[in-house]
Amino acid sequence: MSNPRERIFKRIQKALEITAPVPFPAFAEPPPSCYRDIPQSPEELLERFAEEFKAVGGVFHHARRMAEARALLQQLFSEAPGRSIAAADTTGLRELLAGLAGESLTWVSSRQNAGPALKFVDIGVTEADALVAQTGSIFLSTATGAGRCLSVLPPHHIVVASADQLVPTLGDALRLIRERYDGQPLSYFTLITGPSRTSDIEKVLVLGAHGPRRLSLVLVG
Amino acid sequence: MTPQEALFHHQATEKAGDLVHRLKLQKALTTYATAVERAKQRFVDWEQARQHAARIKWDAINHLDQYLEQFEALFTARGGVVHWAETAEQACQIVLDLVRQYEVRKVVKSKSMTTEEIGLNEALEGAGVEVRETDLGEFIVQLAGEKPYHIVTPAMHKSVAEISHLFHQKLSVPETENAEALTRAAREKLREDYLTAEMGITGANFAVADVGLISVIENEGNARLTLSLPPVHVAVVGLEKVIPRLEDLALFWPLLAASGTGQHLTCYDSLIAGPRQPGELDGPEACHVIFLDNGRTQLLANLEQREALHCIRCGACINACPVFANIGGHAYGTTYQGPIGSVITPRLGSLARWKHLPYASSLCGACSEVCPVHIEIHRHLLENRRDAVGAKYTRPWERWSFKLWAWVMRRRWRMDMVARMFRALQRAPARLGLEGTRLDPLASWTRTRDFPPLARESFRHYWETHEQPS
Repeated sequence: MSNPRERIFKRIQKALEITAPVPFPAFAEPPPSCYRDIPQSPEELLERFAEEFKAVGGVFHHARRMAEARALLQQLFSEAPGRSIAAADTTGLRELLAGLAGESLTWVSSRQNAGPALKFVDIGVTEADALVAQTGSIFLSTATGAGRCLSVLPPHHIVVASADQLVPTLGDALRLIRERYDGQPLSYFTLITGPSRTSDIEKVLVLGAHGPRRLSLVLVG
Repeated sequence: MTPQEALFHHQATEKAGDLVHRLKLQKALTTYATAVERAKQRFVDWEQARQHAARIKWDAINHLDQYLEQFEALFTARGGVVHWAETAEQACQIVLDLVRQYEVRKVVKSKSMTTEEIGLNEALEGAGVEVRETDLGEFIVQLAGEKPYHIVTPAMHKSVAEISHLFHQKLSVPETENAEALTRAAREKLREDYLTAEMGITGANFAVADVGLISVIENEGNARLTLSLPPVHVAVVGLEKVIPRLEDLALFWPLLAASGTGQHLTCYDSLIAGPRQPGELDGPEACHVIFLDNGRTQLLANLEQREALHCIRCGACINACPVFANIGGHAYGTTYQGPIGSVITPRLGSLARWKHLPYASSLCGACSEVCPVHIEIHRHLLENRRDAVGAKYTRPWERWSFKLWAWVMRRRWRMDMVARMFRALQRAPARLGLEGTRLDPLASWTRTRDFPPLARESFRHYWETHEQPS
């Protein structure tokens, strides 16, 4: 008795008895990036990230120290008084946000499925795994305690990250993810490049299609 | 003539003469082309990136069994379930069984051409399940009761006024010419659906073998919501979507974004490794991947065209095709439109039924030139024509006229003689007042085109009788 899986594999193996001619020679080493101008020094990384992040519609804030970051976040929260804020429950964010938003701030825990409960949240605050300087992207996994929905369901997503999380290229970020989380039980990773968008109607760009309309980054250090 | 061919001729003729349709299409294609040119500038070497991608895909497809097994082992270890479907019917049946198992009444879907290919929406609706497309373009065509017009931009053919009218009729949204307001209306409408659906269905752009996860790329966030909120996530994935290594995405994400929409990266590039894991905040309790064959192994066995399985469905060849620019996406009557669609549709299904598609091409090669994974699309179109002729799928009069033509062209004197006859007789229909009537042999050509008269003297004759430059 054979099943669909066996029959499919049998057909594949039969077809692959002959290998197709190699279209192009293998590259000795994969290029570090398919893009031009790989930023190198910490200053370059920071400058390039800020430039790319803004170009895709993100709002970039830079704080040298904690106190400055707290002031920036206070201001972001106060732009929308009475709005509900949810943050990933991490030591870093607990410390940073202590006393900032009062009653309107909820810490999202993993006790029950948190996703649907975020329906009425206006601002989601998360950390990040890595920041890709060359593309202005934020790499986010569930290892940061952010889950899947906190960074996509609320209309405003605020990311708090530190300057030492900057990596030059997308390849670097993927390698870092592999090394850091090898064998760990994680089900979800996402690379975020700007706020949600669509051009499905006459190719007119509209921000905030189904995900956040606003994406802010507070970079500390 | 097959019904598919008759319909194609009818629709293509109609659309080619529809100037409003053409203008809408031109506008979209021009915006696209400008963005793509800009996106390509970011690459160190676009040609090298294409070759590199072709090489990686070659590796994946020529070791397909090993990579699929590797993926399955890793994905299953985290609690995901992998299913295998040989046909569209089997794939739909697997989803319907899951629907019963999890007592699903409503499904949210993010854009997936693979589910279009297997007719999943019809199967689900037939079983009484409510299906909601969430990608804005797909949402629009679903509301309009149409099929996607283009694999990347499903509502490319609709003007803002048409969409406004549609939303007004179906969703009671006030009429507006503002794309933002219409997007907002769709957003509000769909919010509740994500939260109440019991199942989210997506496709996948890549299945990464060495880490056992799938990648879904998008701009709107609807795919992320679809695969995060409902308690069950099902992904229907063509088995050719495999790539060997996680790091390969550092090339494929930018390549697909540049060729698909002219972005340097799409807004969200997500990686899904299975259902919610212990300690994670949220996510579905069950995650199923259905690998679909549906003719793909048939294409794999075709050594000449195996590389058609390298396709990453970016739509670049469609946008570059002069035939598409005239007839649009619906005329093809296929899930996959344009040049790549005309290569794979006859191969995944039946060449007898779809043999007219490879003729919907000028063989200019623009498709091969833009393909980010270097598929020689126009060559495969020619192979499809060759095989259709070889299998005698063409009409007898067509075969005879080509035999006659070949006979004439094989001897110089025959060709010259026919040219002389034509020169002598070409004005006859006009002189006899038959121009454009059924007795005019050129009528079907001149209905929509000019047929300039042959020059009095052939170039060859001129060359022989005039002094030649030294």
